[in-house]
Amino acid sequence: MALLSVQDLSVKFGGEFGAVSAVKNVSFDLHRGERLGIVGESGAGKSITGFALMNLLSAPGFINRGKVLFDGKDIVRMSERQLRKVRGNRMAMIFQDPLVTLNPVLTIGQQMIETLLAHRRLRRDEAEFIAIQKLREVYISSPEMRMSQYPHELSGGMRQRVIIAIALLLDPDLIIADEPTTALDVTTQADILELLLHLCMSNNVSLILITHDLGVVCQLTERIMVMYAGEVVETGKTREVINDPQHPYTQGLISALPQQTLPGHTLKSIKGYMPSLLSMPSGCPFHPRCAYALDECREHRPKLVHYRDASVACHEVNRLHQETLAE
Amino acid sequence: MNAHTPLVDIKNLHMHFETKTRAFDASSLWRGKRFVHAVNDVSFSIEKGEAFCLVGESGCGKSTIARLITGLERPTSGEIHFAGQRVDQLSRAKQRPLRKRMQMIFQNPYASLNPRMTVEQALVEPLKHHFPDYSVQDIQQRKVDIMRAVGIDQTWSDRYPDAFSGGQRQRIAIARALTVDPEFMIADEPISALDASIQAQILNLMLEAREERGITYLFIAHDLNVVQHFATRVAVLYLGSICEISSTRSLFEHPKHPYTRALLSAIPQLKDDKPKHVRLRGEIPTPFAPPKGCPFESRCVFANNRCRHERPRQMRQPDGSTVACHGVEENRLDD
Repeated sequence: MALLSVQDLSVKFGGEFGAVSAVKNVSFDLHRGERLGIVGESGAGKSITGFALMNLLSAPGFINRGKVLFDGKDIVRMSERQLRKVRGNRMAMIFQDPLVTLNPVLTIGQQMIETLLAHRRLRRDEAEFIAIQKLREVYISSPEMRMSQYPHELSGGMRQRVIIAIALLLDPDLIIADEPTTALDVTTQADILELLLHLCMSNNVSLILITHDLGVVCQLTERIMVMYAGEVVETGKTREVINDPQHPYTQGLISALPQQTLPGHTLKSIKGYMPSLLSMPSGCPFHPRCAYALDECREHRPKLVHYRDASVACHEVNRLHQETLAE
Repeated sequence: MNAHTPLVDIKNLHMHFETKTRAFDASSLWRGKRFVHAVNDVSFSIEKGEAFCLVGESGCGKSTIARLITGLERPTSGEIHFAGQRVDQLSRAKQRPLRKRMQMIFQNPYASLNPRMTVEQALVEPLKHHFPDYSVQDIQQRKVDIMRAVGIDQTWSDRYPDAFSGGQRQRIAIARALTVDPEFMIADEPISALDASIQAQILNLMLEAREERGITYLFIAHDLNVVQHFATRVAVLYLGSICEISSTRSLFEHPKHPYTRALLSAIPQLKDDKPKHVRLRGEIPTPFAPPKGCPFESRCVFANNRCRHERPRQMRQPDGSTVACHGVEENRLDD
């Protein structure tokens, strides 16, 4: 059984113009120890999906439809009390900006011990021992000293290590990391990514990595899910999707990267901009920017069609696939 | 002065910021004032038509250098020459004609565009200011030309910046910079806040301006993939000092300074054939007390006693690049 099974998840935001759909019909399975990357540009709905998986959405956002089965139990229908047992304990979240996540007026030690005591029956000194051990696991030098320091006394990379240590405190089965390295410098980012990969692999922890950076996804994940305007447009094995993207949006996203064009030459950009949730185009959400758009694309929304290891939501890809099958 | 003058020439630039001491900080009571050494003895020149790029991680002084060149800050010491004229000591009034020749675009176009000015007003204002003898028709004509060149729809004219997305705003900011027909453009992380598909649009726009208008760029970035695509020459900064200046090609093919190598190996790649990640020791030192010898010494695996005590000088290499590293000079870094 999959550790996490998301079925037909939809998220809406209520507002003065009526409810708008921010995430539509997202379904996927994640097995124990598996690492999935959710990729997309800002406004694609990837962070909202991450929040919805933890049932952490706050008003005006709400889960409109669907199930999030974690170990067989539906998170969407859990009470606050039940949720508290799962969150932090069995699934943990890491955010982009560690300064916002950490409490500025508590020491690192206080925050870690507090978390442990809230979830486990432990003595203070036992909790302290575990906390120091976790800090050591994320390669923080002299962890005993760091325990009494405040977040502002640490560098950005060090803070993100502390966040990872806190996420690991209760030995979760799943970590959801939302742009965990976007605020960091490249050399620090490389260290943190290595660390995350190492920790997930050695503890058999599942990872959902939410990012806009395709390079980061390639380094960390086995499977990839590409989102556009609140919908999943393509899924598959990371390496296969990157090497041979099927959906025109994924293709555009990859070929727009500067390293895909000779230096100084014109980059292949995707024309236009992502539509606003308030004025979604009819049919396929990508059709106004798509070079292959036909009448069908303007009128009917494509369904996510499953192939062997992959799935794509595109009329054209589907048609080509049907043709090859017929031959 | 010899016959050949680079467009921008920077000599031994230093910038130290004084910080207020905290009363309860015992160590600072002794010293009284503390200084952040943001820029330390930086020299480089930019030829006409180049896309010169400064790369480095946060706090390395790249934005400070940009602010010094545009005259937004005054250097502690050193010289800045623009088109043969020394510009670092000019009064505000004397700086004004230079503003027409050098323009700046920033990372966050929402902060650099006035939220109370329509696109039309934002584009026309610099024209009125720098070309007081232009007629209304001239100004309108010029505005329309620029809008067409950077792909701004005429219907945007009466709207305010908040009606646009990040990529659209950056287009407007670039259009505003281009209205006065500058020779030199400083772009401080112009695309880092934008999405991948939009980054390509903006980068193309800047490349086009370089080709069609012969604009010289000082481009500041941390994304090395973007640098490789856009730059003709690159200076790598670390803690306010230049490690290496090199043509883009030789920098990416044969990085010499250990910091450059670490930086290049850290880029997340799409392909598997990426070089092995060169891990750095420790953390970046505080700019309050930069190391006495080589600034990179505390994190460098090749550092020896000489590196700890003697600051390396920029040495010219056979391929035309310059590198400040004792290890490279002594030829003791293994490849």
